[in-house]
Amino acid sequence: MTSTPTLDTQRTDQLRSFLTVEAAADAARRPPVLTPARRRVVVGAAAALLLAGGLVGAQSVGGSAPAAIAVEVDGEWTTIRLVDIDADPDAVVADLIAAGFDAERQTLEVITVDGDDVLVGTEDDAAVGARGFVTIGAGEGGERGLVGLSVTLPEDVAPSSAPAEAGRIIETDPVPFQAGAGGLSVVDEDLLDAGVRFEDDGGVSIRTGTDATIVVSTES
Amino acid sequence: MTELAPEPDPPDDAELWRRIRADDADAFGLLFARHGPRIHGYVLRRSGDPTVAEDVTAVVFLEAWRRRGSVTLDQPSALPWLYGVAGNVTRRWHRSRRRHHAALARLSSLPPRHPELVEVQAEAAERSRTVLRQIEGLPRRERDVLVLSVWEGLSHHEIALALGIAPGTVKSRLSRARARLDPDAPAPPPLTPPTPLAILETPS
Repeated sequence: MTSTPTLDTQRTDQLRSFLTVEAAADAARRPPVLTPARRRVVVGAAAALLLAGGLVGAQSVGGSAPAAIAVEVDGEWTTIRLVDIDADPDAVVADLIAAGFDAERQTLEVITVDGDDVLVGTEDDAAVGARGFVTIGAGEGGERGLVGLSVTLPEDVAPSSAPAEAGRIIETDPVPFQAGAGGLSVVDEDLLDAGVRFEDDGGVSIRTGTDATIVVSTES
Repeated sequence: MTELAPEPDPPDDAELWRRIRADDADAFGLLFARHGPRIHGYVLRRSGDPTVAEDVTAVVFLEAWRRRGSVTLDQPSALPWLYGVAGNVTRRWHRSRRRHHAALARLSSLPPRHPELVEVQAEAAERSRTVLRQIEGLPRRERDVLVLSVWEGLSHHEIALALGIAPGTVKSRLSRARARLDPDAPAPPPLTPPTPLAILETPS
């Protein structure tokens, strides 16, 4: 321990007892913790279901794409990708709106878990879409930005497999810090049926006519 | 004469964490006993507020417990990760407190701290505030690296683990932080002598 202890032995023991009791009580009242594989599925469904309200239909767009994003139309699917790794998130939102999408910015907490950064949304963040994130930016001295795309859906078109944990904390799987890569490519047939597809390269695809809001998420 | 069996080696953090993931609350208590005072010292220095340091420390460990299902510890020490959690909890204390409101209410029913302990913590907090004033103008990322290096005595590798960044980034941020500080000002003194983590991991 440190040479100038800020907790003495007695206080450490008191706090240890308190935390042990809290942990035991928590373990007794909760089901076993989710495995990563299970969590992946839950995250997708929870994200979609928590995110209702304030939605405008995405439109297919034509013409030249704005600078911060690339928009590609392929049949009934429109795919949006971030292309400017130094883009200001507000600029990305503005570009999306200019391109005809309903878009909003959102900040997420980033925690470090086992050496990896993890984006975390809480029930306080009513519109967290913890999916499809990409990480971008690699500047001076290894500094990096962090921004990602996600989608919100109205409740009536969101996947119906409501997770029991809806409303609890949502955590994504660790996201690798690789510019333009590492989007969470969770295969989710229900979400696909709802008209949203997350591409392996971090792009987000929306089927024409889908009510959706593009969420530009960034580190808080 | 009966030969006593040798004391078994205490489990390392990786073993404790495996047990914690299996809902072993006693293992969780051991993890706190091992690292709690160190994390408390860090929180106290970061916040400069002895009145909330215990609450924040408790929340750091409650968060660790909450995340046990999604965190795999594949290194012998959990301390760098706990530092990372502590930094985030300290920064987002308002939100974190809401999440653990009920537990904190129960924590408040613990017996009061010993007067001598209150005094030690108050002195440590005062020294922290003095140093914090010197570095408050630094960008947060540089400040985090500086604090973990100077105050906590972590190596570049350990800081990288705590903050989830590359060791090279630690080095560059530390270099920039030092360059930004007034070169004529005295260096922020360590509040505790830096102690190698390896020693802390194997208490006798």
